Amino acid sequence: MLEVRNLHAGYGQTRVLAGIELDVQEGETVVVIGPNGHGKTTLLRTISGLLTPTAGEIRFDGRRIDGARAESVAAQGLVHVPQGDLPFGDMTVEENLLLGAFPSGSWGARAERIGRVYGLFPMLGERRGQRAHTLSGGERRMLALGRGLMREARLLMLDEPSLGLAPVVVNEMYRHIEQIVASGITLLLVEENFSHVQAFDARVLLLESGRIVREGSVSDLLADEIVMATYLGT
Amino acid sequence: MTGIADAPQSMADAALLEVDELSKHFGGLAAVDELSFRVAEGETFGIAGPNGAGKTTLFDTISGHARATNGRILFGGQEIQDRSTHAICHLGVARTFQIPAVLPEHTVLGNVIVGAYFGHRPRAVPGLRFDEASAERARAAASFAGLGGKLDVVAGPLPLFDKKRLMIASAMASEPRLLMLDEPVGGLNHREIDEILELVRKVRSAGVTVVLIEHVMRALMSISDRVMVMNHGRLLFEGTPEDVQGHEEVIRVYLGTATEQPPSETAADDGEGRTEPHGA
Repeated sequence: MLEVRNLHAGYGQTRVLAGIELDVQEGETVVVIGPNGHGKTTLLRTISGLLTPTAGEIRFDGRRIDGARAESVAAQGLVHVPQGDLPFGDMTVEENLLLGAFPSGSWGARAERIGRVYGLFPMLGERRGQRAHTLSGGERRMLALGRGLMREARLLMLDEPSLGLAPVVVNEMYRHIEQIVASGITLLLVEENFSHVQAFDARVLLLESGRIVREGSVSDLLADEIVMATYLGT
Repeated sequence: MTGIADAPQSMADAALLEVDELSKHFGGLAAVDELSFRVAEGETFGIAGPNGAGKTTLFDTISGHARATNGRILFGGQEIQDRSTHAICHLGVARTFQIPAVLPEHTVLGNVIVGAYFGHRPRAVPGLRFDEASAERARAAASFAGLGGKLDVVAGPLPLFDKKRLMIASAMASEPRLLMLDEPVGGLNHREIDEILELVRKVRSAGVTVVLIEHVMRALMSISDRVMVMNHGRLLFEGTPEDVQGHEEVIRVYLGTATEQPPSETAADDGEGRTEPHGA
């Protein structure tokens, strides 16, 4: 479904990705782990068209998408929920969510989808009429995630969805992500909090210094002492 | 807990930070709602609670970034709720932020020296250049935070782990008595979390009182002497890290039922083997 070949990207003089090779099959869950500053977020940004690669190829369903604009990549069903504080502050919670369904084929299903987002994050439902800038940091993260879930995705890329969220919310969100995976949507996930990833039948990639340096199932990585000590906790 | 006494406290139970019936309203929303608690000098005090419980707003009112609607905040016995951010900083309160706040165009040393020069004491008429004493304090604080080898690196492109340490270095350069950390380990991996916890222990050993907000329970429970859980701007629980994990209401509104892995023993920290980014 997604093929990445010899991908290079960076910011100005700073090279971040140094020859990424990555294949994601339809229906698969792939988790990318690795130290901060080694390119996990840059990889997702380059795939979704937020960043133009300096070399290499990216194909989605066999079609080249490297160099394509982010909105056309998203319109093909490759949805990226980035890290960070993204909502439009002067718009309400609900307006921000509706933007997630606009303007692609997801608009007709917006009422049903917004109901699902409020089911997942009840706090957003309580605050649907509030302007986004009045939300707390964690609530803004929920809003950014909820907005990403408003769109019909075939491949969903989530960048550290648990960041800054209360444990009970993280549990609830991962239950929802499990449902998304069970419904057949392909998932590419960046996540430091490995305890939540263990529930998935996932392939795990270790990204260091801009390259994929190790790859295996969750149990393979759990058996790897170096990976355990560095990333997962012994 | 005893009530808030009007008489001066004896030295034995003198609170460094005393929050007394504090409220902060945003329109009709009471983000902080008649909250009272005290933190003793030398203590490490952890704050947890659901998203939107008012944790960061509480930090903002203490550091002067937001004005309290009602109530008092005493630091070292002085009321600070109406003072400006820099005046509060000069009294000895320093903080970090959830989303890294660094000067992106400046180097690591350039960032820390701002804390060392402007955070340390009033500079009504700033000099044309930073003085050598401030530069020395800045270098010491950067080394303290493990950034001694990156003094000349521009801060903007630094990874999250370094930015988090840089905020701590800048805060420590102001020589605070109270350091407030807003999610110091969020987004970091296991190894990086252990390094930040080690740094916080060093801060504590240096005699600085620490108040921290954190959702990573492994970190909060292992570092805090006492924990407060907030909900809807109010105090839901206050007690030891051991007691909080069995508190039914805290489990219901905050921790959830999925059990976390027990806090692991910190792996032997050889300080080696950390791969640094290449190709910059």
